[in-house]
Amino acid sequence: MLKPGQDTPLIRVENLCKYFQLSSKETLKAVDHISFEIYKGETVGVVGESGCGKSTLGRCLVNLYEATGGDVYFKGVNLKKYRKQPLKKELCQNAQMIFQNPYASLNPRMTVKEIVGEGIKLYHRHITDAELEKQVLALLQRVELNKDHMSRFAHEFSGGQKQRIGIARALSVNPGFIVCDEPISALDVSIQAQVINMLKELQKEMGLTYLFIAHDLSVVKYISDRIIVMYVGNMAEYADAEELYRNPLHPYTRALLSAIPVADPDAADQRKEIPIEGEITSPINPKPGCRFAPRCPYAEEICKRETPERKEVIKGHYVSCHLY
Amino acid sequence: MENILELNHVSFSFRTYGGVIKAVRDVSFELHPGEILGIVGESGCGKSVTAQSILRLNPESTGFFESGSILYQGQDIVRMQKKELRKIRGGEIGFIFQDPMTSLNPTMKIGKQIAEAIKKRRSLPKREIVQRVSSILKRVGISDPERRMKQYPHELSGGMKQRIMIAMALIGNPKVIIADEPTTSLDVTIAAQILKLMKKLSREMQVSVILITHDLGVIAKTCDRVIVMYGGKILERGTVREIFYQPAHPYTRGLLNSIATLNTKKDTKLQPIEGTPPDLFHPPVGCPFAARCKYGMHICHREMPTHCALSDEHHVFCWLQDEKAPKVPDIFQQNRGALC
Amino acid sequence: MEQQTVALENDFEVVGRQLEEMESISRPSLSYWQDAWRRIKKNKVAFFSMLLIAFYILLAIFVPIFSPWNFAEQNADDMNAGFSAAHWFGTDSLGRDLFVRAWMGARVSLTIGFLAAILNAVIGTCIGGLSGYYGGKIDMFIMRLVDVLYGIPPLIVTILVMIVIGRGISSLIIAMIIVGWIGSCRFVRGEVLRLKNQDYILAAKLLGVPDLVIILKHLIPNVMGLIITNLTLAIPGAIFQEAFLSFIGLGIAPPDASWGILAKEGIKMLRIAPQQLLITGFLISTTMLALNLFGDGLRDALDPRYRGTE
Repeated sequence: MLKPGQDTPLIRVENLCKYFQLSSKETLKAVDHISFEIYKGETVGVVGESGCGKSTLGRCLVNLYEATGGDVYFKGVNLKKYRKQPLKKELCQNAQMIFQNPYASLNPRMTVKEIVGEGIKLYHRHITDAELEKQVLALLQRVELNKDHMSRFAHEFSGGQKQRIGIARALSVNPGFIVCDEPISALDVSIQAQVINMLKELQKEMGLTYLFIAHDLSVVKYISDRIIVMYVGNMAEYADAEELYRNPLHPYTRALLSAIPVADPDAADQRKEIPIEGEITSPINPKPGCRFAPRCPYAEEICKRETPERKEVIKGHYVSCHLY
Repeated sequence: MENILELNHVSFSFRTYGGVIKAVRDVSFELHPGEILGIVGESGCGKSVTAQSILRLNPESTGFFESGSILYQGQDIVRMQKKELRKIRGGEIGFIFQDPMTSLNPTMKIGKQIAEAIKKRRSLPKREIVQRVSSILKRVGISDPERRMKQYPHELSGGMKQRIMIAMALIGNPKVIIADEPTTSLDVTIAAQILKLMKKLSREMQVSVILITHDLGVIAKTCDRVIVMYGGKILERGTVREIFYQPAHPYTRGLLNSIATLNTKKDTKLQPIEGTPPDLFHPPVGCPFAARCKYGMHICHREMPTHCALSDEHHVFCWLQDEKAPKVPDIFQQNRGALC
Repeated sequence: MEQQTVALENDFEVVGRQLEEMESISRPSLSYWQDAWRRIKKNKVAFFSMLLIAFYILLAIFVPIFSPWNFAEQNADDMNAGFSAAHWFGTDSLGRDLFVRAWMGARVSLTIGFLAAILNAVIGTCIGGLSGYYGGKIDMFIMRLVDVLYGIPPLIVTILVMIVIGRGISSLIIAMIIVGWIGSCRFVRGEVLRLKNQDYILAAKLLGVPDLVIILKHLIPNVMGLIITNLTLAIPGAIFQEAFLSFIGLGIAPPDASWGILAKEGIKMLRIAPQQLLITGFLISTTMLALNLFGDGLRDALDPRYRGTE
């Protein structure tokens, strides 16, 4: 695991904001002033509930969305510069994404060979058919599929297999950075483990860097080096995975950890529950102050007035909360 | 102890373009009064179809009972007249559907929808109906019920909608509630609230609950007894502690091993269950899990395992329980020669 | 179900996982169109309708070639005759053979019907596709244009065009497509809007696939099934439109034959020789019905929702 501060980060996010104008009066602040870094070879997990903006964040990092405010630096260069050619092509070959819904992420009219080969053909215009087939086969074998699958169509596969095809497609352009946007949420429990193991192995073999987005904190903790906890567009907490679990500082993180169902009846009985009542605040036209204040058992006056700043409370452990 | 609900050798299938899907095969279990019974399994295992079949909610044009009986207080639901069935549905047996987004009528105010459930059974003066609706809303933790009653579903959040669904199921004073994946589409913190609410209401109102889910954590937190389904069949059932701490079936053990918990160490590999679920058009002749089972034996592929009772509640269908089977490390095998 | 009760020696020998068959897929792989064709064949009504149309097309092509009669050949001795061995459909008021006229008319009516519908579909798809994909100002402009055009009664447009260009097959087709493309434009735009945010489109964008390639290779193929279905269902309307316009004197000019012209001539003879109108009516109705039934069957065959249950 890399120690922040020792290397220059692969990706640096500074006060990133992404707002959607729903109508003249309504602004959806999906991502609101998020800052963090991702170092080469590590996995940064992003966890949070609906409306927290984690998916939006992922898409901003690969230029699928244009940031409303703030900056994202990829290999030291601002992502805005990557919007035009020739850098645009370079970004595509460096950053890719794995999508959540295996049923919607593969073109129903294309064969597996076409889906996985599209990226290769795009950047190797004069590649021969034989060579293309060889490379596609190599990628498929990497995700534990075989030659028979190449001429098949997406709908003929199971959810787990479809997800593996999606991984092969993402790898087809040899990216160094992959955003995994809830890659296992739509899969059965016993298949989730297959995909997680595969992602971990590929990371080790190929030196990949991941941004792993999910709502299941157990899985995120298992696969990530560091974790960002998001709540309604804001960053609540940001720390090493183990540290976050052992020493959660933000009241939301604590509540989240206590709400996660644990597959252990005795532990479930014994666990002290931190009940949080109320509904999740809407990211549309949010009121000033801490977004978690309406539900926070420790909320004070200042929480309702001022949005808390990100503070490094312990080395490498950041919280946005007025308690600190 | 009187069983409030009994399923005996229920088999349910669907006629489709491609043939007959045998979704539920020879399923039997009982529901005790006041308990929360969990049915756990992955997609395609038949748990939702089983739940819906209890109230014959499956699509009538394609679904049909191949065999079996479902006894509710002595009466067989499978053979009941439509009129009798309608009295039970939404009354003595309530149903909570999985997706609250699509289960509520978007053009009707909340109060009206809940009131419909009462009005079906008896006519009462409007004031009394409003009062009942208000009190049931309070019961499911909705503050300010008078205001909520006048709102439309799209104005409410997912968690709120799910509470409304629970209210609608409770308003008929049910003895049984069947909840099909009630928390799957909800956020973690909201789901925790809903589960807590369901547990509380079950104890307070002495309602038995059948909880369908794929999430073992939900089962561990909420249920008294558990049924594990796979490939349309029940593989194992028992108390929640028996299932989690002494799993007697390799599939149950496999499921428990494959999930990442907060305590899973980073350097350990997760243990997925290799392979994919069986084809329900042509289900395997023996144990449905045989092809994926690391302890699969010749007989597993040939014959469905016989029933084996490891304790009062702990029953399992697995050839590993047979005295001729080898001893394996991580499966709870009864003492050789005991009751089977 | 009787189960084997004979125990074998190695019954309890552990063989472990038998996964090889699992990862492989046993059913043959069919492309979208192969699969659709298979479904159409199963749908007897649609298949028969398709054969009927094919039959009519063949007749339209070959009857005028092989018939002993010329469609314009008048014969004062044999007017308004009934069915006979010489004249299978009888003759009309000028003694012309109705059988050959019916199928000459079919040539015109079917050509106009198919051509107009196809052109409408092509134009509508291009405009609707671009409008839906790029959105923004382009979309707004095109949609406002569509709204305006939609409000103009098509008959007025047709009359104006006919006056300006004159009567004839090509001017009729032009008149029909000037506002005819609107329907498919709206429809394709709607589909493109729905599909363009699908994950596989985003994935293609992320890979760096150029916009035009995305539209042609990713979007259109997924809308194609619906485009073709709508096209098939639009043909009857186009055929009827031509028949109607010719009937009221705005379409094809005699001595050219089309089914509309034949109907117009037939109605004059309704009391004396009703079979003239009835034959024309029968041909028009069966063609429209067959196309509708085939279009319905096509929609079922191409509907992606049915995939996966087999």
